Amino acid sequence: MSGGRTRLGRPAGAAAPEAASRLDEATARYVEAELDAVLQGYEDLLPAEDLAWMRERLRESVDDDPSLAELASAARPRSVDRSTELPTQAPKPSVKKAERGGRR
Amino acid sequence: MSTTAIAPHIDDEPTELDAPEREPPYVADPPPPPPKDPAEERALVAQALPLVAQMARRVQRELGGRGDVDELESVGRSALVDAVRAHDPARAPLLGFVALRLRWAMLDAVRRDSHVRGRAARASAMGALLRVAEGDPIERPSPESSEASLQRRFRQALDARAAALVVGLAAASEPPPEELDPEQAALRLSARRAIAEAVATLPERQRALVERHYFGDERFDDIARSLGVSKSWASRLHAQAMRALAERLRELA
Repeated sequence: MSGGRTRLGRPAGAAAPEAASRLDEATARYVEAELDAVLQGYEDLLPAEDLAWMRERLRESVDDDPSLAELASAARPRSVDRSTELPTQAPKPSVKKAERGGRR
Repeated sequence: MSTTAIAPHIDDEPTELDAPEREPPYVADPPPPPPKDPAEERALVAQALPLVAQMARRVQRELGGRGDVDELESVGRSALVDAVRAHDPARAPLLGFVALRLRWAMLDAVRRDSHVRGRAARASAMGALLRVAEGDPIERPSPESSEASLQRRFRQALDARAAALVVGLAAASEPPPEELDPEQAALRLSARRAIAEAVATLPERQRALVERHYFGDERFDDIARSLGVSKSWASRLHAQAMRALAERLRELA
């Protein structure tokens, strides 16, 4: 059961859940992070199998409940969106690089 | 140095979310709907019948794929007519209402009758989760709410639901389910003890609801009746108890 999953039941290497049809990708990522935080409190209390099962049920409960899904979407930190954006222009050189360049 | 006072954002002020929770305002149960015409009832039952198989598959999946789906369908068929009779078209759409009632009936049957205790514990936990969703309706986010307050509300909603699952799983673990290995069984038992201790600190009515339903295996409706409160209000008290338990368990962790 726990093969390929973290101790908190998150599919290893997966940012977003497999079945979160009501949620957009950024909200799904936020929900996963919140589930990590909530389930962490029970890590010493329950077996890994229970934690993985709880994660699935909680994720489904967000997906099934339009009000809760809407709250998740509204609560999602807007800055998270930037992590998925491609840079539109070349990054500015760092100060140290610019200084090194200036000394040459 | 600037002397401009910065007014605190309204969401930085203490809110009712931060204050110790008082009991929610009393909510009476809605009156039963008027009886339906037999022909209308038959037509509604026929319309809702496909939900029995759908819900049976869903509940089986929720319980980890264990058990016999035919047994769940049988429970669903028995519960279908009552669900249609209890439906009030003025309050909810038929199919959503019936689906929820069927899910409840199936989870309740597994919780009471399953010979596999791990499956019974999961059914108890799912029942607790559904009850929190019922007693803790989520208000639509207001455009004026700050990100921080929305995040706090979302975390509280998840916390209450997680606590409900933990209470359901752990309370039904005495004796530990035979399919668990000794280490897992020991964890469940220590969780049960931790939760029992946390439950003992709840206000009287919340404690009575949680102890008698999850640890004493009494029906929720019967406990509400014996406490002299409506089932709707008992559901709200239950949700409040789960929010409080989430906090207590976090302190313990």
